[in-house]
Amino acid sequence: MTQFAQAAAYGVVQGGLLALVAVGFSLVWGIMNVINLSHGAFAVMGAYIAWLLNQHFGLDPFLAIPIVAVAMFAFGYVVQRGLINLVVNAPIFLTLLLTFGLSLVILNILQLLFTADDRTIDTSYASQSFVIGTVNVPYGRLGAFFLAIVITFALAALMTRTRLGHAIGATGMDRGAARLMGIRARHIYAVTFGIATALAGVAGTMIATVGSFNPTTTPGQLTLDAFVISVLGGLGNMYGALVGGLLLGIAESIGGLLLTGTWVNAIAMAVLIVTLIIRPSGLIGKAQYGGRVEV
Amino acid sequence: MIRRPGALIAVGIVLALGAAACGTSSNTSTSGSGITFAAPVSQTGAFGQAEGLYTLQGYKFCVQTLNAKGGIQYGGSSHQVTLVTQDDQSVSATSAQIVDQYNDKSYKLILSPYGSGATTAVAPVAERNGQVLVDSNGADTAIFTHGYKNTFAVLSPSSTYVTTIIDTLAGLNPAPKTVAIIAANDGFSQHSADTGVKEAQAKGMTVVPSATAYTSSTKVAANVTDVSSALIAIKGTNPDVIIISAHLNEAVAAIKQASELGVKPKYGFAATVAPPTPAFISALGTKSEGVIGSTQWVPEISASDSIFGSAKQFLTNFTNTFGWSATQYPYQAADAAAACEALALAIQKAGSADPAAVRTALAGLSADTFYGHIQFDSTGMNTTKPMYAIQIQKSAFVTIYPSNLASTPAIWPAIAA
Repeated sequence: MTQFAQAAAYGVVQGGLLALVAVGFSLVWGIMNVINLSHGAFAVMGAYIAWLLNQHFGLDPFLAIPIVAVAMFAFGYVVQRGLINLVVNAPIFLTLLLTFGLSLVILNILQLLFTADDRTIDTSYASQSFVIGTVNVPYGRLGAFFLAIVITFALAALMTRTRLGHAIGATGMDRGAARLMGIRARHIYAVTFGIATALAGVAGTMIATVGSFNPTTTPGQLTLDAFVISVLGGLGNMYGALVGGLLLGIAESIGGLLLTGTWVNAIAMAVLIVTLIIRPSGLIGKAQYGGRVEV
Repeated sequence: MIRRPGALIAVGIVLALGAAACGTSSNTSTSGSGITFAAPVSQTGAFGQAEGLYTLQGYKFCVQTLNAKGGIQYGGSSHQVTLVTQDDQSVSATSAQIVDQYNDKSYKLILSPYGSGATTAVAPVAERNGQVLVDSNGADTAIFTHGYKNTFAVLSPSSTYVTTIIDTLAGLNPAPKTVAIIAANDGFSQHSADTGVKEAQAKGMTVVPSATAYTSSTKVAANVTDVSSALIAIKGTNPDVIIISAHLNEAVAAIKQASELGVKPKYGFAATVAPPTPAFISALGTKSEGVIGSTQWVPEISASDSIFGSAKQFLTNFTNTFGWSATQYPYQAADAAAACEALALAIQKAGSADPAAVRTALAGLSADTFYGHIQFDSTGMNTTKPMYAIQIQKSAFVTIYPSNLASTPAIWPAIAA
């Protein structure tokens, strides 16, 4: 029972971390219909910025988050305006290839700058935990979990209660109509991509705090996680990534305990397949995103 | 609803292409009376960042040193060596394909890729093609159960990794009474754990949560960065020492996550191949302090040869060449250089680079080198060389086993009560 409770608790906080990785990816996919294969690379970029701030200025990773977010937002905005926007109307294969190529360029530059060694942001608290009965809850992952919740609710509030959010939502639903209403779609797309890139950077900061990262194996895994969680949670709902991340985290943790750790990936894929069979639009995805108009 | 279901397939294809596109290759042709050593070595993928890199550097250093000393001498003339390498992307099947391609190019003298998995895949290809394979970093004894005649390993077999850790622990004060073993789901790690359990029981230690847990609840997938399921299985059993029979990624994850999950061994951690690698320290920082690791080579051994000089000279020259710290040296490079040296010695002994003659010379080789004694049994394993153990102290590898080579006493218990 102790082990089950521990696995469940770990699964919940790990799910929060996974949600954090996926929330930006889901946003870009849902609004722009771009499956951003460079999302993992953006996360690792954010991780390196936070790591550098920690190494050179001793800045705590949680305090580094605003700096990472602003820097990555600016980077994402420029990348969208200068690059992604060129193919935003193109067939999806072209956007896949472009973002994949962008990922390779970024990761090779990072490898040249930092080598392929694993890095971590060493803090006094991230690997520590507090105890409830016999269950340990790690501070670092708990921080990431709360961050995921705060970001998700903030994003939902942005989308529903601000003019910018309405403009983003409108552009995602019907770009032509949004333009007719005076919305500058190009700017809205760039802002959306910038927000997603900033969120990727924040996720990378958390990955670096609770685990380790490198420019060779980490980005691919993060992109794959984000992809699975986005499909699982569903697009068009700001809470989709959170729900998908939590489900995946709990399923992997408890499944790993019951069936041994070698089954974790199989469990994740099984959960994805079953969810898609029962609810093809994802757990809380909105079906209208499948029938939107693009002009 | 998710639009364009084909996109899901497309993403999968592009992600798969990603791994393939990361590969690089470097081919160099030989000339005149030169000799070509060919090696598929991981430069990308799971092993590309550390173990594969170290192996490649060991091969390069060996060839540079051989050529600087005039090459391989036989038949009254000197023969320069050319090293041909290609990235196997840390994929065993790719390693085997590369070795087949080497055969098409008449490269018959093969140095192994990094790791037991890739070497297991390469050995039958070399056997079929009549190539000679000198194994530097594939320690799984299963490789040597197939009756291959052309595969020779300079390193100590997998059966000695965890047993060396157990022997080291048994000599420490206080000696552990209980140990838990986490093992990755690969042949090398599982076999190391298997022999380790037997050695622990022979030394009077109890393996928790059970002696067979390494095949079930504490078994983890290879090369993963989340081993929480194994740690949760250990939680509550309160072992004195947690031993990780796995490669770098799993070992780093185990030590980081143990702290998060409140799984704290009474005395400390030990692991097989990960601690004696510089990447382990860079990944874990201060959490790497006190971790014990088994290693194939330490510079304190009193061994030398005419190519590299003494073990200490090898360390100095190698670390200077590739910019490593002398206290954080990758032992896998010594394995690789020793494999390359064994091949060179066999060619010299055979008086020919003909693979059949080199194979015969390797089978009868008995050489004392900077790496220790190299001599192969009938299966191709080098069972004459012992293993050693190091502990990470102040970010440096400190030899602690055997006691006659120990430069500094072990800090034990490594974890404060």
